[in-house]
Amino acid sequence: MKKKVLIMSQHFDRSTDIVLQWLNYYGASYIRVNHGDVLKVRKINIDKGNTEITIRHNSVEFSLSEITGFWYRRGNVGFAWDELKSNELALERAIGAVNKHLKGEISTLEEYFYFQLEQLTTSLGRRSNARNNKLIHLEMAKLCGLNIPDTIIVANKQDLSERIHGRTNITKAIRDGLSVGIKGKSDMWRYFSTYTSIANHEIIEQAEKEFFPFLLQQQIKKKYEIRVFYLNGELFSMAIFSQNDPQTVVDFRHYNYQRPNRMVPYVIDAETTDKIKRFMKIANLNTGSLDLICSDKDELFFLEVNPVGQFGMVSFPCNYYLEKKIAEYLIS
Amino acid sequence: MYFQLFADCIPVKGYNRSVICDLGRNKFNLIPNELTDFIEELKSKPFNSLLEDFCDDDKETILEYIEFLVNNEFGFFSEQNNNNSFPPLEAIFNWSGLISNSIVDVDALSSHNYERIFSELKEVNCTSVQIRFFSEQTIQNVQFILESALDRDFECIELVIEFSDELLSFFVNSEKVYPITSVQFFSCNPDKISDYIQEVNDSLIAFSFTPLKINNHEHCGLVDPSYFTSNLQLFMEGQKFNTCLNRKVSISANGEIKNCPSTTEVYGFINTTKLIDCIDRDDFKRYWTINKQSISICKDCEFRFVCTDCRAFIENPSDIYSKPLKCNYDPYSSTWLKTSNFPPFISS
Ligand code: SF4
Repeated sequence: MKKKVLIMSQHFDRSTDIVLQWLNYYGASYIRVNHGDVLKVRKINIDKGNTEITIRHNSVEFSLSEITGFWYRRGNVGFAWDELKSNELALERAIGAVNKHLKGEISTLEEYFYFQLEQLTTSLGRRSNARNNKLIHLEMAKLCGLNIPDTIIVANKQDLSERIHGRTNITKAIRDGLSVGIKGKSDMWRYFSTYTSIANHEIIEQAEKEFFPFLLQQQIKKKYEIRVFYLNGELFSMAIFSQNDPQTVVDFRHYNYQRPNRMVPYVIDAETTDKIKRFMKIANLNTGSLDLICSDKDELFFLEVNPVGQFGMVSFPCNYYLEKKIAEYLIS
Repeated sequence: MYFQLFADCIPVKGYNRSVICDLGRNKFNLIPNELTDFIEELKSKPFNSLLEDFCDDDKETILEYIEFLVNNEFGFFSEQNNNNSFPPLEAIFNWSGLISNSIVDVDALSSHNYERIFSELKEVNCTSVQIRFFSEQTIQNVQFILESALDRDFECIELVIEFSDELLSFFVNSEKVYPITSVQFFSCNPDKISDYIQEVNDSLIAFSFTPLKINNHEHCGLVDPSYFTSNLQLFMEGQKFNTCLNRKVSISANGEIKNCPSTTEVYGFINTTKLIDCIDRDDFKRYWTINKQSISICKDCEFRFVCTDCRAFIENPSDIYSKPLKCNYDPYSSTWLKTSNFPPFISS
């Protein structure tokens, strides 16, 4: 049977583009669905004999039985449907309830659709896992015997000052970082983004008695950072030497373009590799980008995993050809 | 204590001296061969004990070298031997298509079907296209050609074209319309080049200018230090393949399909032959695997992995493994024999 891969992604995702070039190279066909595309259910057939799902993507119809491989890269593509609308005030609540009901119907179909795709023998990534819960992942990593930095969520001044006292902490978003643009003078946009940053005594002074909960984490003195791309049981790791550069000591996304950090291939020791594999199993992830740190005492600490993270920055500097490996997996 | 180079800093030994290719920062530095040997020994022996083997004078020199390596962040010290954790870059080169780059030549007599050319290039997954205009061009004509290249997702479109003020402002204004990567202007008034460079300062397009007149494919194959490039892909490709001709296809001004525009072999005509049929022929790829290690003189040159080869203009036309003709470097004396007759482009 000719290989046909379904890919859920976003426009301008460079990694997807390159994987598709490799699929082309291997003579496989593919359907790329981008965030924002219109996906509609045509028919779902669940009977004794076989299951058949027919989908319309923009203007093209395809059936799930043609699909031999599935890659959930990123993005959130659901089924399109039309909401009910009414101008009559009296009907507003009822219409709202009906729309809510329809939305529930549709999302059940979506769940089923993705469930079926994830049943394929070559299926990479899961939509239901795209959102990482850092706290749950820390628990799981701990369970697998990985070192994790002490982490606390604080919401009042007393806990904050106890915690900050005598040790260095970093703070980062509990979920994803935030980036907001503000339109200033003469229509110039300025962007403000959250980064991982140092939390020290200054923040105690500014703190009110109680506040919105935020995350504090023990700062690990690092020799280097490690970025791992995990692909179905295999680890492709890279060390990032950023400690020489004050600009990137805390968060290497403060990239120094004059003197880029050294990013070189790295091999994680066998024991930690096993722990990472176990962790990925428990977290129900068959792909993802993991962040680790090597401390000044040569211990590896697990920081977080991003199931839909960028891996081009591991693939190119380390000459790993990850996009080729993904394509090979998808048609295996 | 151990010292190790970062995997992306790779020394390349020549006859007299070495080049350390910094593939992470796209630059290279000359270093003495003794240092390359010393670095090699450091892979297995601790730094301190190795240092003991030298007399005091040499020690001083070695410490200076190491300081140089550390200051440039070419390597790092660690307590244990880290070779297992920090493996070298794997020396592989892969390309997801038959062709990676192409040259399309255009002159006053050309009657190319650009739609066809670009769609056939796309078919073989070619991502870079260089279009060289050997005759004066109207904006309309250039625009027409660029239109046919639109929406084909070429990653890199380079133009080589005779300078005119109109063209310069056309390109500057259409940087958002056409996905042009770079424009090389020839026949520029040398006194005005610095003004032009000012003018294109903020452009998304990389412009370069030369006073030279480029009216045919003879103006190619030049080897000059200003053309040396240190980057990971080229370095890895160069280990096994020819750094100019591997996965290249050219369409000459009169439609001939060639590997290189300046070589004589013709494999078909773009209006009658399918591109893919030409490329499939074994003889089409005859130059692709001629790497620098198999070329005489170049194989002893420290620049061999930052240098782009040429097989069209060679010192001895009857020996395909002879050195590029337009190279004035002698690796045995480490000197550039005469200054180049071909002033290179000045870039913005
Ligand atoms: S000798 Fe060969 S490798 Fe060295 S600079 Fe000349 S052409 Fe390049």
